[in-house]
Amino acid sequence: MDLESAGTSNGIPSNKKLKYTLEKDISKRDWTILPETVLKRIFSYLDVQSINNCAQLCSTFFRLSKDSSLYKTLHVNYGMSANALEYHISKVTRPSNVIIHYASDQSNSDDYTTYNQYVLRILENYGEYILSLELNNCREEDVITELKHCVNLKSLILFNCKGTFNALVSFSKLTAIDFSYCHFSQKVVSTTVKNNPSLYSLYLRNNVNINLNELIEIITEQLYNIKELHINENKQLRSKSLKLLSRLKNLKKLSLISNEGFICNPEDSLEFLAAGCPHLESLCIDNWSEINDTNLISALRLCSQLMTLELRRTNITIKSCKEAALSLPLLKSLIVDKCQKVKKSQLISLREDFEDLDIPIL
Amino acid sequence: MSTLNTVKSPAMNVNFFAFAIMPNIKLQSSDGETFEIDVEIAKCSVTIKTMLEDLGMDEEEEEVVPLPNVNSAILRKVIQWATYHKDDPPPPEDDDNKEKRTDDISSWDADFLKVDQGTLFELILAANYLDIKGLLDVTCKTVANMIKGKAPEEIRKTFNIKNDFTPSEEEQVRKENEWCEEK
Repeated sequence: MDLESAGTSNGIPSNKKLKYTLEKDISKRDWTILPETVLKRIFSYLDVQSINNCAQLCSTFFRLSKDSSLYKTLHVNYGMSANALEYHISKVTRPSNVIIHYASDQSNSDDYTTYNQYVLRILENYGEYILSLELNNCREEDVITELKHCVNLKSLILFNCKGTFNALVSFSKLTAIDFSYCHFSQKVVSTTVKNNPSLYSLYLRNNVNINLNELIEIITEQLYNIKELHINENKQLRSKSLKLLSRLKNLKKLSLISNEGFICNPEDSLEFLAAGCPHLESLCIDNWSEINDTNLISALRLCSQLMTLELRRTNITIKSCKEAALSLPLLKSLIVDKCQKVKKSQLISLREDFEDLDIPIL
Repeated sequence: MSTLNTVKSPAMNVNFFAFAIMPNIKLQSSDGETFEIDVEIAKCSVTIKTMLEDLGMDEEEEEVVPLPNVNSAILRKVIQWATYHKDDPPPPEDDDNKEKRTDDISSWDADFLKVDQGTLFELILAANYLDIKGLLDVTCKTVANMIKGKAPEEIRKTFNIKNDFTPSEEEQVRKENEWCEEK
C-alpha cells in the first residue's frame, strides 16, 4: 500500500484539513470518497436488492454495481414478482450460494407453477456452480428431483421440506449437512451421509424418518473426519450408539438434545465418549434425566479441551458445575438451565467464585 | 537488549515489569499525540508491521512511528480495538464463494462501533490505511447493515450521497430498475 498517498488520493486535501472538515461538518461527509477497495468490500456484504438501491444514488456506486464478482448469492422468494425474479437470475449468473424460499404456511394450497419454473431454471442452468444450497419449506417434488444438477454442492441446508429426495443420493462432495423439520423417505439420509466421506458437520433437528441408530453406525464406521455433530431427534438412542460415538476422535462439537427425552441410561457411555474424543471443545446435553453427577463428573475429567459446556434438563447438582469450573482448564462458558437440582442462588455464588467464567443466569 | 533501552524511557516507570517483558512502540497521531503500546498489538496493523520489518525501524531504537493519516481520537479507538483482539486467531482469507454474513458481529464489537457516523467513517479509513483486516471487516459489515433494507432515498440521506448522474445516465439507471417499481 502506498502510505504517503493513502490519505490524499480521491481528492482529499491535506490530512489535517480533512480531519478538521470531518469533525466540523458531519453533514458534508461524502462516503463516495472512500477508497474503491473499501466500497467494494462494503458492497460485497450486500444482497442484490441493496446493491441495486445503492446503484441508483450516484455514478460511483452505479459503476461499482456493475462488478459481476459482487453477485455470488442468489436469494429467491415465492413472494417476488416475475420481473424481480428475472432480474435476480440475470444478475447472478454464477451463484455459489443459492437460497430458495417457499411459503412457511402450507395450509392454503399456493400455486407455485410460475415460481417453480424460475427455481427449476436456476437449478438446471446454474446447478454446477452452486456450492451451498438452502431450501426452505419446499414440498414440490419436481423441484426436489432437479437438485441432482448441483453436482459440486458442499453445503446443504433443508428446512421443513418434504419429498423423496432421491437426488440427495447423488451428492458426494458435501462437507456440511443441516436438516431440520424435514420429512424424508426412509434410508435417504443414511445413504446421503454414507456417500459423503468429507463430511465434517452434521446437524439434525426434528426430522421424520431418520433412523438415528443406523445413522450413528454409519458415521462412526466411515466418517472419522466429522468435527461437529448436532442431534436433536425424537428417536430413541441406544447406549450402544452413544458408545460408538467415541470412535469420532476428531469431534470438536457435540450436542445431544431430545425433546421427548432420552430413554437410555448413559451408564458409562459418556465416559467412553469423553475418552474417545479428546478434542471435544463444546458439549451440550439437553433433556436427559439419567445424566447425574456420577456419570457426568467421571466423563468431564477426560474432557480437557472443553470450552463450552451446556447442560439443560438433566439431573445434575451444583457439584457437577463446581467440578467443571475447577477441573476444565479451558472452560469459558458454563450454561446450566432447567436442571431442577441446581438452584439459581448456587449458580450465582459459583459465578462470584469464578469470575473469568461466563455463567449466564437463566 | 530492548529491556535496557526501555528502562531509559521516562514513560516507563508505571508498569516496569510488563514493559520489560514486551517491547513497546511509540505511535504518533496526525495531531502530534504519542501513544506507547505493545509491539505485538501494533503489529496487527500490516502497515506498521511492514514498516518495522522492511524499513528497518528497529524495536530497540527510541523511534516514533508517525501516522499522518490518523488523528488521536481515532488512533485511541483503533488501539482499544487491537488490544481487545490481540489474542484472536488471524482473520480468514476472503472467500468470494462463501456467503458473506453480516449478522456475526460480536457483541463487544457491536458496542465498540456504537459511534457517530463521522467516527465510523474515519475508523474505516484508518483500518484501511493501517491495513487491519479484522477491523476493516467489522466496520464494513456495520455499514452494510446500515444499508440493508433501506430504500434508495433513505440510503442517500443516511450517507449524504449526492446525485451526480448526467441525464442520460439517469435514464439508463431508471431503465435498469423498472423491475423494482411495481412492488
